[in-house]
Amino acid sequence: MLEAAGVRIERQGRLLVDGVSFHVGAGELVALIGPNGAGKSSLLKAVTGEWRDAGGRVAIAGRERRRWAPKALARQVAVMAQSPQMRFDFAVSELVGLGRAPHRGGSAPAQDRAIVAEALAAVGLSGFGLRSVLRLSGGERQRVFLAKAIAQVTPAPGALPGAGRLLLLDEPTSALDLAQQAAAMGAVRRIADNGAAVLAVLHDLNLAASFADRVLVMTAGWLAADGAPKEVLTAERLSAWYGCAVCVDRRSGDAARLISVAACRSGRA
Amino acid sequence: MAARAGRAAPGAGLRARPRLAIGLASALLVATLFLGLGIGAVAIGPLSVVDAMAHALGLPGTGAAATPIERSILISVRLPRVLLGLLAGAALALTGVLMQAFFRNPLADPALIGVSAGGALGAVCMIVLGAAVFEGLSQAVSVFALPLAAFLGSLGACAVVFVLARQDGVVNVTTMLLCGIAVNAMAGAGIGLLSFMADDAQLRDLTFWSLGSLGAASWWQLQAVGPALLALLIAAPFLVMGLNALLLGDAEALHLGYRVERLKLVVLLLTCVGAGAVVAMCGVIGFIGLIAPHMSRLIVGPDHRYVVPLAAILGAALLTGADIVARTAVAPAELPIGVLTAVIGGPVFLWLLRQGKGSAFHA
Repeated sequence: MLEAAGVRIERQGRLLVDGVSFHVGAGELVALIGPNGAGKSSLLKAVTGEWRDAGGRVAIAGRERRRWAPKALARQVAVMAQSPQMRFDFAVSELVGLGRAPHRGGSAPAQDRAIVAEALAAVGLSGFGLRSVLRLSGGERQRVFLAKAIAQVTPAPGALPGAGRLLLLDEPTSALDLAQQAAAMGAVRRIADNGAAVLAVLHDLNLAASFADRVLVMTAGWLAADGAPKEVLTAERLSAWYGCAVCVDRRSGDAARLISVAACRSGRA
Repeated sequence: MAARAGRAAPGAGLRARPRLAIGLASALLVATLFLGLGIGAVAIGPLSVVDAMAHALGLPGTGAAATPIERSILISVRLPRVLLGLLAGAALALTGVLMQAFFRNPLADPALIGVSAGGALGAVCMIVLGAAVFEGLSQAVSVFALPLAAFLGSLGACAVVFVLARQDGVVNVTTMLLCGIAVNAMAGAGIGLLSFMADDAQLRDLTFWSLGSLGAASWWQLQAVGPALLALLIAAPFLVMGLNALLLGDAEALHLGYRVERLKLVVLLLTCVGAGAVVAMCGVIGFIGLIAPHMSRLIVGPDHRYVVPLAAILGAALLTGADIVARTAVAPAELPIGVLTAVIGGPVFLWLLRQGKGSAFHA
C-alpha cells in the first residue's frame, strides 16, 4: 500500500532524513517511534506530500505520489496531523464531515451523515455531533480529528472504514488519558483490520508494543530498526536509541509490556 | 450556555435551518432595495417602482403607472445607485469572508493586505498631483482617472504584499500579515505627505473620497466595476468547500485534496480585484467586510456553504440601507457613507464581541 524508498529530506542545510526505505502493507498497523528530533514527523510530511522537496520515492497503492491527482489521493489517504488551533465555531459533525469533502459527489448528504455518525461512534463520541469544537477538551478534540480521518478513509456508505486505504497519524494519542489512548488505538487497530494500511508516529512505546504489527525506529534521520515489537522493543536496544536506561517488564506475557525509564526491579528483558 | 453567549448553538435555531436564514435575509434585501428606490427627494411607492422597472424592461405595468419624471429619476439616478450599493456591499462582505478564511482569523479584512491604503494612495496621487497633469483635459477623462488611479493603487499594494510574502512558491500567511502592516504604513506616509502638499480644495476632495460615498453612481460606473464584482460573486460559491478546509490550516486543506497554493492565489486575486473595484468607485467603506461575515457566522455557523451567500446578501442590504440613511439624514446634503458604516458598525461590532464573551475571537 505504502512504499517509501530512499526518502531524503534536507532543510536549511540540515539532513533531517537520510535515505529511509520502508513499506506498510494493507491490514498492517505500523508504529513509527524514536527520540525527539529523530525525523519521524519529517518523514511523515514527506510521505503526505506536505514537504514537496523531499528526495527519494514514495508510492501509494502502486502509483508514485506525485502522479496522483490531489482529490483522488485524498480519497485514498487520510492524514491526522497534530490538531490545529481552531478559531471557528464548527459543530463536531461539520468538522468530521469535512473528511467527506474529497468524496463529494460520490455519496448523498444523508449517507455522508451516516458515515460521520459511525466515525464519531468509532472514537467514542456518539452524541457529540452538535457540540461546538471550541468547547471540547483537548482529548475530545483530538478524537474528533481522528474521527475526521476515519470518515475520510471510508470508501463509500456501508463499506468498512479503511478498506484498501492508507491512514497516516502523527501522535494520535498525545492528548488522551490512559483509557482513551487504548480506546483510540483500538479504533485505529480495527481500521487496520478492515484492510487499511496505517502508519502512526507514536511516543508511547507501550501503545506501540500493544497495538502495532511492526515497529519502525528512527534515530538521527536513520531507520535503526524495522521489525515485530517483540524483537525491536528490547531494553538493550531501546536504551541505546533513547540514550537512557530503559527496562522492559514482560511478566504479563509477550504482547503486553511495560516499558519504563524508572529503576528496574524485576522482569528485565 | 451557548445561547446565553448570544450565538447560535450548533443544531439550534436558524443554525439548523441555514436555508431559512438565507431566505429571510433575501426578503430583507428586497425590502431594502425597494426602500432605496422609493425614498428620496421625490417619494415613489413600491408599486410605482415595480411599474417603472417593468416599463423599462418592456413588460406590462402594474397599473400604478409611474409618471415619466418618476421613471427618469428611478432609472437614471436611483437604480444605478442602489445597484452599486448592492454589488459593492456584497463584494465587501465576500472579500471579508475570503480574507478571514485566508488568515484563519474572524477579524481579518481586505485592508490587511493593503487594498484600502493602496487605493487611497492612488486616489490622493491623482487628486493632488493629477491636477497638474490633467489640467486642460476634459472632465470625462478626470472623472475616469480618479477611480483608475485608485484601482491601480489597490492592485499595486496587494501585488507588493503578495510578492514579499511569497517564498519558494508558498505564500506564508504570517509573513503576509506583517508585509501588509508595513505596506499600509508606507502608503499612510505617502498619503500624509501628499495631504501636506495639497491645497484646501484638494484636501476637501481627498477627505470626502476617503470617507466613501455611493454618490457618484451612474450606469457607466456600473459598467466599469460590474464585471469585477460579478466575477467575485460568481466565483465565490465555487470556493466554499476549499474555504472550509482552509479554516483548518494549509496542511489540513492539502490532505483534503485541495491545491492549497492555487486556492490561496485565487482567493487573493479575487480579493484584490473585488475590494479594489469597490475602493476605486466608492472610496474607503469600512466595517461591512467585518460585520456582514461576522453576523452570518453568528446566524448559520462557520460553514462557508451558507456563510458565503448569507454574508453577500447581508452586506448588500447593509450598504444599501446605510446609503438610504446617508442621503436622507441631512438632505439635501449627504453624509459620507464610510462615516455611517463606522458609526453604526463600530458599536454593533463591540456589542457582538461582548455577547460572545470568552470566545470573542472565535465566532
